[in-house]
Amino acid sequence: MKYRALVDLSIRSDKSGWLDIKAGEDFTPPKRMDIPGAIKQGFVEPIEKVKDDE
Amino acid sequence: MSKDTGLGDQLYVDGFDLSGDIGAIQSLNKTFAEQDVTGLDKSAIERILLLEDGEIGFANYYNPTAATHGLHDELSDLPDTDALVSYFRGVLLGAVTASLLGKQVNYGLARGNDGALIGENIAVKGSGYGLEYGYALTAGKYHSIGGGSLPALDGSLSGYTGGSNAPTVFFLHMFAMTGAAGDDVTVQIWHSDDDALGDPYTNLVSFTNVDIAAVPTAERITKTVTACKRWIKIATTTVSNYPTTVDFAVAAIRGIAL
Repeated sequence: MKYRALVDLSIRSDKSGWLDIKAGEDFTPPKRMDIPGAIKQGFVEPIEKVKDDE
Repeated sequence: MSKDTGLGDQLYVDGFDLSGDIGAIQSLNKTFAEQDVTGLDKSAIERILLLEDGEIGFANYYNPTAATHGLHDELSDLPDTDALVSYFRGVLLGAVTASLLGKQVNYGLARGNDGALIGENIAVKGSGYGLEYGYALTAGKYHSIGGGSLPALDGSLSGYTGGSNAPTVFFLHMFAMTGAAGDDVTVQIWHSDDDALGDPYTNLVSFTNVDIAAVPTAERITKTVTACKRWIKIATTTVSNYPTTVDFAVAAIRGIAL
C-alpha cells in the first residue's frame, strides 16, 4: 500500500541505506516502518484518503 | 563512563575556532544568585536560588594574524554584542559541551620581563542565559562536502530517553564555507524515537539559513513546542546552491527547565 508523506521523512530501508522522502511524495514504506505511529504523528496519509480529500 | 582528562579540547567563539590560541580554560561556571531566608526558628542557614548566571574564562596567547583569525584579531575589539562561546570536551559525537551566550568583558596583554607576550585571562559573562552544559552533535568541527545527514546520537547515552516537553536548545558555530557567491546552507536538527527503525526521522528545527557571505557566524535557538525524541541527528541542505565545503559544529542541551 502506498502512502503520501506530509512532512520530509528519513527512514531506514528494508535492505541497507536510507529512504529520504520529501513532503508530498508518494512512497511504499519499508516493512519495518511504524505506519500507525506515523499517521498518528501526522507524518503520512494513505493514498486513498488523500484522493478522497481531493 | 570512567574518569577522563581534558586532552584534545576545543573552544569556539562566534564561529571562530580559537582552540590553538588558548592555553587553558580557567572557568566554566554555572551559578545562581542566592537569598538568605533563614527563619528565626532555624539553627542553620536556609537559602533560595535567584537569577541564573554563567561565565567562561580562558587564558590565551598573543596571535594577531588576521588571515587565520588569530585570537587578538578577533577578540581585542571587545564587541558590545553578545558572543556565543562553546567549549567541546574533545571531538567525539556526544562529547560534553558547555555553551554560553554572553558579553566578553575584558581583553588585555601582559609582557613579562623574560620577553613573553601573553594575553590576560578573558572572561565572557552570561547575557540572558546561564552556562548551558550539553553534548556535541558533531564530532568537533564537521567538514561537509555536500548536503545530507550526519551520524545520529542516542540520547539515552546521556540519560535522555525522549518525551520531555521541556525546551531543547541548540548551538551552531559556522566556521567557514568555500564556493561561489550566493551559495548557502541550512543546518537542521532531525529526531526519531528509535533511529528510524520504525519511527522515521523528521525535522525538529532548523537554524537560520547561512549565506556564504555571512560566515563566520553563530546562533543559539530554542525549541519549545515539540518534544524532542531520543535519537537526534544533523542534516544539511541548501536553498540555492550547496557550497563546495562547509565547516561547522553543533551542540545541544535538552530536557532542561529554563
